[in-house]
Amino acid sequence: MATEAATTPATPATQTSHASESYSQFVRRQFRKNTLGVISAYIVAVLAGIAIFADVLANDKPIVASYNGAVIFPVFREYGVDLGLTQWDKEFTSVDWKTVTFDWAVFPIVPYAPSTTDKNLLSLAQRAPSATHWLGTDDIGRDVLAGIIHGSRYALSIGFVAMGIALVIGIVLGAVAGYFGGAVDIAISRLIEIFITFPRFFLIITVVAMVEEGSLFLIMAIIGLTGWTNIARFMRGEVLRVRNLDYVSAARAFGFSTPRIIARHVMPNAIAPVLIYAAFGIVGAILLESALSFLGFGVPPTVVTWGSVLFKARSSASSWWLAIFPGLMIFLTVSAFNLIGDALRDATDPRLRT
Amino acid sequence: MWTYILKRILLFIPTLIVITAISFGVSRLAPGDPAAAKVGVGAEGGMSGKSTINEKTIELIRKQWHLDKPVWQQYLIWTGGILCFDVAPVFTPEGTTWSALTFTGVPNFGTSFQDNRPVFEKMLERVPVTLLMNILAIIIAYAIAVPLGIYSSTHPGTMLDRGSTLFLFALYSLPVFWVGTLAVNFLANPEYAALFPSGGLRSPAFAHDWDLWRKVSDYASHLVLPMLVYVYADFAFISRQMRSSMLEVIRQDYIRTARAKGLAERAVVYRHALRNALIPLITIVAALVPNLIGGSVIIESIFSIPGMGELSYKALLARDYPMIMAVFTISALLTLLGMLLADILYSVADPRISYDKKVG
Repeated sequence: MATEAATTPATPATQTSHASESYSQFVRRQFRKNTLGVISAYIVAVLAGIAIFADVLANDKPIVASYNGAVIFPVFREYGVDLGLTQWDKEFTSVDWKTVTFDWAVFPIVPYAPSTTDKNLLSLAQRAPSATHWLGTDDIGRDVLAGIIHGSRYALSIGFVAMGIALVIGIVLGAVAGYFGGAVDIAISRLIEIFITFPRFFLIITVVAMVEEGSLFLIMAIIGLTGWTNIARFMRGEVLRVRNLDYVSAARAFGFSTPRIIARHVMPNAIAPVLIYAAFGIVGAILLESALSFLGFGVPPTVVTWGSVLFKARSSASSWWLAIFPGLMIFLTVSAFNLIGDALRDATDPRLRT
Repeated sequence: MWTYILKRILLFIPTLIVITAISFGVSRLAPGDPAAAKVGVGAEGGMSGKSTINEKTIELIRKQWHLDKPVWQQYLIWTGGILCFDVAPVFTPEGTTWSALTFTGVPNFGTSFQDNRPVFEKMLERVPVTLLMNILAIIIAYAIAVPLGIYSSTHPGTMLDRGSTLFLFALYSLPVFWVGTLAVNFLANPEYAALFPSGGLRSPAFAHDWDLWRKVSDYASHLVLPMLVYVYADFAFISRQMRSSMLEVIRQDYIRTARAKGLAERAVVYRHALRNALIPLITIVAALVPNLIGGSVIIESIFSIPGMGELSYKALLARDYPMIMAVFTISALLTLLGMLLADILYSVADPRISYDKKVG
């Protein structure tokens, strides 16, 4: 959404030709005026790139190699293996790729997977950042940079998926409550009140702590299922506001169905402010997941997220690199989404129109 | 006003019933038999499997915790306990009877699985620490945030405004758990700088025959880091609201009118703008009330502060369900009270808001 807003080619910058532009064009034009917002959109785009290409950036397998005269692509082969489409050749089933003698091989920039443990690192000094491990390793020799690169994948997917769940629930419940009113509205409003009253963070930790095998999907689901109240309240208010306006009455007079009226006529006017909530909601989801992992709940120990590297920093206090780098990544990501949210808010605020 | 408050409090009841039901349900859906876990015959197999003694103990504990009764009775006993009613089952050869319903005057949230002590008693011990630290933190945070917000919005574009805006933004995006970790790992670590102790409220060597100064300085040195993190977390939140609220007000027409009629800038800012800008800050009070007593799980567990947050954290690790249920119920109640408080304060601060005419 925001990245798209920043990367689409600029409309002609004549100040007078905006009369016929649509609302989304208007919001984009306003957004582009906010330098920090645009920079943040680029930062998010870069992070998304890192997340998508994490396997090529940090992996213990070569990207492409020549083995016994045949050219192989182990990184991509792994996708096939994970999907169950193909299998490793016998000599590669459980092999340390570093020990294989290739004719030639192109390794990723960071030649470690997040779970690769380097067992040669015995002392604290050896685990510190060095030429082999740029950002150091944790107490069991897992490369921090590889963990951070793959961690961006978890952070962004948790942010977007959890927010997606919250958006769907919030928009649907809010629109239904606002459009139908009456008993439906009262029931949904009570539900919202109950969810607001519950201590959200504690509820999430409790559920995650109680379920024996924590998984990413559980965390995404529980963050999403508890995070929709603000969106629902906003949508409800917005629908209440417009449902009696003339153009909605006109749509009703045309005989359009209720879902169509909500989706095509009511929603488009409410969607930009909802995106503001979405930007801040992504921040909330990323912070919640990191906080969970930081407290030692959350993802299974084999999964490396930014929060779980910080969790390691608590027990190895002298490894400064474990405390600094993952925290910086969380800070950077959170700042970027916050700035995008701020920029979107300013862009949609009619009082700031120029 | 009073009818409004009464109505609101009556509306708490259905919400609280649902919330207690959910917390009760969550703890009952949890895997494993708590009585068996208590004796140590859990899935992890603490003791050597099943023996008649273990079976007997489990049976006894199940009785003691009312686990042998139907779920709806368990729920009623639990909520009855919260409302200060004690149901003492009388064991007879025919079964148990429920005759002895007595009003005790003390809320009973059950006994902790960890040490068999009443949950409510354990909580009362922890409340003062959390309450004191939070109130202090909020006062300090407001004391810095409000003047800064005023200055920033009345001197737009100055170095201090730009600097503080950027600084505030950075503060707002810094995760609390990172700041806390950095503080402990770098400022309380002999490897780098052991300026402060790394956790707890007082040193292990603390003795009651120390003179007052030594006691105070011992507490103080332990409190510096956690208080810093608490203040920063509240401050980042409050100042952001303060700034946007002040900027919003200063753009209004009536401020321009006040300036146009030649009022001194001081009068414009303090008599006209500030009062209205403070109204949104009242909602923040509502958001902070549950924290006053609930504490922060993250901050208190980082600094091992024996407050409510740490108690909740320990309860989670130990799967101490009576404690977890109590934490849920009390936080929910506090949130409801906080929201009510905010609404009341709104009408006090802003005479335009009246609840008597349009009660609904």
